[in-house]
Amino acid sequence: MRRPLVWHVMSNAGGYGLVPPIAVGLLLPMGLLLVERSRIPQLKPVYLDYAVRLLIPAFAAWWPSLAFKERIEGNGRELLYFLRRKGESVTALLIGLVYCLMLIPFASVALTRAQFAPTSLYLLIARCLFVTALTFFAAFALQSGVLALVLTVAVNLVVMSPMENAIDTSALVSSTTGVGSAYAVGAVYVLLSAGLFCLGEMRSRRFTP
Amino acid sequence: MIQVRDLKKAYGRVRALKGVSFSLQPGVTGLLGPNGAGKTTLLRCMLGIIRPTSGDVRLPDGSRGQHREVGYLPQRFGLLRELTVHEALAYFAALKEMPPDDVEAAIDEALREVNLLDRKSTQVGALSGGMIRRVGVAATLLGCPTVLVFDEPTAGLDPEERVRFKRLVASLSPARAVLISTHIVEDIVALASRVMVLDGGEVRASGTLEEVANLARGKCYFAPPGRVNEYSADYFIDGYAEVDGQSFAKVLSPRPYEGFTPRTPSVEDGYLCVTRGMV
Repeated sequence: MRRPLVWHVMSNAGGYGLVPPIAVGLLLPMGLLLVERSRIPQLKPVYLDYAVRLLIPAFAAWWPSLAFKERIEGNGRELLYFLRRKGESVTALLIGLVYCLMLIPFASVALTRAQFAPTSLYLLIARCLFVTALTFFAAFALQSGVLALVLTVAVNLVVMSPMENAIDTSALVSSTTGVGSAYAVGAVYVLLSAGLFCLGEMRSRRFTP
Repeated sequence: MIQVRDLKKAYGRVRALKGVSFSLQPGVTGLLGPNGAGKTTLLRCMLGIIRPTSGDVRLPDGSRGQHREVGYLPQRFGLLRELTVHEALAYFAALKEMPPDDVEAAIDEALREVNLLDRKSTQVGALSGGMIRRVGVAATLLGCPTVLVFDEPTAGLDPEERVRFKRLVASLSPARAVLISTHIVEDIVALASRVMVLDGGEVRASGTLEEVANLARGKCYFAPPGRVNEYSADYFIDGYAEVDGQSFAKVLSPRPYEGFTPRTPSVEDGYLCVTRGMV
């Protein structure tokens, strides 16, 4: 059976590729369990908010920035480009989806023990896909995996929360339930992700000598 | 096997290729040219890596842009350092969309050809520069392409690895068309049966090794090294040689001067005559 290309790409990431599974798949759910058992009730919403708004989306930038490093700035990028004339958006999307699967332990703990709303999970997945798409596009546009990582984390820290609040406010005007606004924010992220995947695909098809 | 017609490439106002035409036949062809002649640009345009400004390239099956019949080893190769040699080649096999059942045998065969079968489980990052280049050749050979293109394949290799590489290319099937781009004339003389000289984005000369060497006929001389400064400036010192215990300067000159002794031209002489505008 032929292994998918993403398997080979991620194998080359070596030990660095283990950072998101350890941080997001293991440490964050364990931390949530600890917080849930602590005697400080105010800690849980703060922890959840930081994890869901900042940490988990930020780690979504890790794999794409690492996965395309070789293709963008490695010594063999010309050969990789020659052999892979197609773009890389499918690989990037797969990486994003695998990352979302890695959220299962955190989501399980959050949904069962922390009154985490399913709509928040939907929003979290949308955020992670957006960050993956942004990193993918930025990596090829800036021709650097590290710069893409820095840019995406900066966008995550500075832009995403105010943007979500703005969409949230305008969506609430037209929706009496709060649920509609979460879907509106998620839909914006999904649309933006689709656009960034397309732009990244176009950029990744062009060889920069 | 590959036909290139009137290929042009411009970067802004700089014309890197000015209408290159040739056809690549089975056997080893050398693409010689000084640095900046447009060799890498020509290869990249030919292989569809960069888009030419105009011109046409036809690949082995008559198609354009199809590349499974072509193996390419670029000048810079040193990737996938975290993978083992086997894993790296499996990745290239996946990129080449080889049938999964053929992959293992193809990897073994390619590694055998480059004499690295015993390094199959070694991490690429632990190999020497020469060995990594041989892994590159193995990657190029995967899927048995009928055309092989090597860009500066011996650059950065130590003498032993250069000899090994030459042996490897010499052992490749003569049914394949191999194009080797380099500025090292010695490599071409050792490997190629035909040569093209590219300079200033144009093919200035092409033919068999003998034909290119003959371009310098009547222009190659030995001159006493102590007296070369006495002659006019329209000659070029190509190197030094010892004949019968006496040292001589190898000179390329459009006409003989007093004290010059004619000598047999080499491919390097022909190449230098072309690039110095003496032809």
